[in-house]
Amino acid sequence: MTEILGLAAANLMSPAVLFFALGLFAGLAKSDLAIPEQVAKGLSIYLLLSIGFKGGAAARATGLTSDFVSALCVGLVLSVVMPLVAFLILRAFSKLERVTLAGTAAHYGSISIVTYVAAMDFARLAGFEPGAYLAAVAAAMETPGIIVALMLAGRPAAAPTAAEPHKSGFSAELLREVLLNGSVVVLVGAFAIGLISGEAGAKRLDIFVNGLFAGVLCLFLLEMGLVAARRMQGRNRLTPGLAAAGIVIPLVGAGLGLAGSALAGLPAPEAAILMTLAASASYIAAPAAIRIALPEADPGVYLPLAIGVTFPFNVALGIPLYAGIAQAVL
Amino acid sequence: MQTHTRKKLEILVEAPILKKVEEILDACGVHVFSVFDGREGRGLSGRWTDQNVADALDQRLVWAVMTEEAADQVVARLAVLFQRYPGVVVVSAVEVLRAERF
Repeated sequence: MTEILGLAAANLMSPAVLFFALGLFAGLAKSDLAIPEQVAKGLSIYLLLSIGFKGGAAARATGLTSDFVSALCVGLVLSVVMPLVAFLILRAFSKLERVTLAGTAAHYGSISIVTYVAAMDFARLAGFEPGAYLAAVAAAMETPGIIVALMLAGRPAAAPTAAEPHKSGFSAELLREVLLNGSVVVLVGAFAIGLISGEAGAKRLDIFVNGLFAGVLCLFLLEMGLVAARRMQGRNRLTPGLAAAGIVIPLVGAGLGLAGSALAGLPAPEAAILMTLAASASYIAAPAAIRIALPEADPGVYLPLAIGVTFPFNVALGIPLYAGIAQAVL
Repeated sequence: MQTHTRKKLEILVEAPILKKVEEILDACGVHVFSVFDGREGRGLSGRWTDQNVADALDQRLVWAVMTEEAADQVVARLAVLFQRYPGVVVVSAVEVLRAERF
């Protein structure tokens, strides 16, 4: 317990989390501080490129280890199970209509790559090194949960359009959106480039992908703090019950991540990251897919829940909690 | 100066839906149009802004000038699209100089 509190304190004092808190404060205080949208998107691409590249280079160095395969299997199972778990918890905590329950569950079935980045950053700060190959696991967990959640919606996933009036079910457009989403392409592409270029490539990009990383993460988390504040203040249908669900779902997800990791025999650092991935909620890939597939699902529920509740909880408290539990149990 | 009457459509949609609107324009033979980023505003669902990290709720404005026949077809198809997706279309009569471009 003391160790978990120590990790939590270290996390709360880290520059990245403090910059997130600064953005949150500035947003809630209605400061005119703003990161230009294109800059924020550029920072996001940089972070994805860096973790993808480092993951690929690390995978080249270590080869296809049994831990890699195990983590991938656990991650895929979690991404199928998590939307079901989220759906049930949301239904127990709210009276939302089914389509919004499913749309929100999709966000918990997918993952937040910035939460993953924050967890990796925290792991380094806390002195344990999860395998960088987990970037590939994170990429693999982006999509399946969205598809499972769409099945929970109980209605055609893609609307018939005027251009294609007889279209129904999973359209090519929807599959393109979830499989070729920009963040997935950068992450998987950079992983492949890291894999191909190996150690020599990693040396050449060292200053870019390592030297600048912590600073860019701080800047991006500053922006995320501003976005979280806007989401909390903007139109939303968050009730106390839903806000509680936004904390219960990640805790249950982390528990499932721990159980899966233990069953697969993964070490504590990898388990902590898988717990974080299961606990995180997507706010980039899932919202775009859900706006196309389930426009009736209310973004006034899933966006404030994912960005305004679950993301801050994970960044401030969840990540050190999961790491502490993984270290204590495994 | 000789001018010609055409219809101008201004279509406001969320970024993920833009492709569907472009498909409709193509299907109706409207191959000339422009798309602009929405910055911020207020609608029936409250205030929106482009400061979203992801572009799921970003707004795009499609600006297109076309013949009356094409406009009728586009509006009919948009009416179907907007039964499920959020969006606004405004139609106005305009005068253009070079009719062959629209």
